[in-house]
Amino acid sequence: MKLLVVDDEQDVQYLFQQKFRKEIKSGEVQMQFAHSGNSALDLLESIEDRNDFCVLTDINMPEMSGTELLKRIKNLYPVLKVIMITAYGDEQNILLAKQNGAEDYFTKPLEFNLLKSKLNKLELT
Amino acid sequence: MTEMDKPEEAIILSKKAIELADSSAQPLVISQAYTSMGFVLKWKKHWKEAIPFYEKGFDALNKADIFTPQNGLQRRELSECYEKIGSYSKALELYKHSSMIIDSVRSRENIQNATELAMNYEFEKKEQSNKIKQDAKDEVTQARQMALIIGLLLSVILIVGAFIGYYNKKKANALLREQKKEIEDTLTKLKNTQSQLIHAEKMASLGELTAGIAHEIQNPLNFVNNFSEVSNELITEMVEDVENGNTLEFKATAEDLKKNLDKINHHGQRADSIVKGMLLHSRGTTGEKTMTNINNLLDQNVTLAYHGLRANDKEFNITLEKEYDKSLEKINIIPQNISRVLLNIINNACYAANDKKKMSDIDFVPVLNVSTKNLNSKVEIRIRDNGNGIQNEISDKIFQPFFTTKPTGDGTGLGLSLSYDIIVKEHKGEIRFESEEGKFTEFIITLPKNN
Repeated sequence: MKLLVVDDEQDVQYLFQQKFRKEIKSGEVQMQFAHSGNSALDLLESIEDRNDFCVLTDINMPEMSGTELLKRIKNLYPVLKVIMITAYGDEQNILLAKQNGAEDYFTKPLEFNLLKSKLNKLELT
Repeated sequence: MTEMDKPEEAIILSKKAIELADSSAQPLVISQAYTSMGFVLKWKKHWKEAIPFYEKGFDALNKADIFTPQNGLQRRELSECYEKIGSYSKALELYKHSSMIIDSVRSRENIQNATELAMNYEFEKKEQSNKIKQDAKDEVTQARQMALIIGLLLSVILIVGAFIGYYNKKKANALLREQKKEIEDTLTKLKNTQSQLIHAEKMASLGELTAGIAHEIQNPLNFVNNFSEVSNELITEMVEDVENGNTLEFKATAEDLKKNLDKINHHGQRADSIVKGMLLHSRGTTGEKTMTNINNLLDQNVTLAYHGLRANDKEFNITLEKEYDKSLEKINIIPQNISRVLLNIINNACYAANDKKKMSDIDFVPVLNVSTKNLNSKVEIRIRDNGNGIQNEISDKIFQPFFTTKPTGDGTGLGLSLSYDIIVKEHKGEIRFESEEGKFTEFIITLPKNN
């Protein structure tokens, strides 16, 4: 399972690494990190097996919001799966996420067990 | 009787008349009685007999010094008697005497008439004079009456005027009282509205932050929760490592646990700082000055403003440049109020820089620069943005209440006005700005250290 986590908060990377430490250790999960929308797009462009990735992105980010990133990803790589994560549980963002083809929507504080079960259901390689 | 041809009866009656006249001793009566007898006898042409009676009648008058026109005529009759008896000289004397008497009498009458005329004239003159005087008096009286009437009228007018004046004054006083009350009511309403507005301004700036604060608290709490969960899992792993005698794994996990606890501590403090900052703004001002670290206060407000704006506008981003003078000691200020000023100006700066970004090309990077400087007796705070600047036309209005360039609903127009009051009036400091249209705006606040 290949995951790309996009969040402007640096500690999100450490948190994911901790939460998925067993999966990472066992090689079950490969994890990439980007701290902005643009760097995420750059990263995706640079890797060949990008379609195997699932993008987990925060919505509230500087420069490019998670919603904008979702639109661009879906425009560039339509098969790529995207899950939205944010502190805002508002209906407008949920609606926007669904309209733009997001697989799911999670609010902070993240329930990692729920996230993991969702990821398992996505049948990622 | 004589003329009725009854001379005898006339003589008898005349005799009786003489008797009666003599007894009466009235000269005029005596004269008339005797001359009547003379006349009767003359008529009977007894000329000679008639003479003594006439003479006796005249004597009576002469003694009494009475002259009448008849007296003159009777003397003429006596003169005729004398003439008839041939005594012409006596007749002539008497005739002259009679003429004299008649003239004298006429003259007397004339004099009397003249006197009467003169008297009448005098009387009329006097009457006229009196009349003139009376007229004059009447005129004076009339004039007096007129003056009195005019005086009365004037008095009435004055009284009416005074009454109207009093009434009007009373009415004006009532109106004034009413207006005074209205003004007082309006003032009270204004004061209430002012405090409501100040409260609204506080709440508006707080409201702008609320969503951002919620987000910013949510993020650290998210880390606290998740890292504590992971730490719990790590402890379980560490127990397993000890049981398995896997010392290396144990050490690595312990290292991760320590990192997690640091993260929990860091994010806990972050949440704490946000909540404290929020309370600083929402709490009522106690007005109490406390020794405050200006660098911390400024930084706290930069964080608050930044996160608040980011929460409200997902596209918002700004580069923060901070230059805090470490030599700055604590100064005595009302931190809540100074905090409001800082937040307000930082919000404005971010708004201006972000506004320029929205209107210009994508390459424009909004920058907020905050700095402090330790001057001898003062502390200087500078807040600078690279937005579009303040137009010269409005530079003298920005501290006026209700002045805003933001669209309706975005600003109350009270922020800078309140800031001015807080800095200048409350803290005896200074607030000014430098700006260049299209390039930058920099607010410079100086606060005295001995406050």
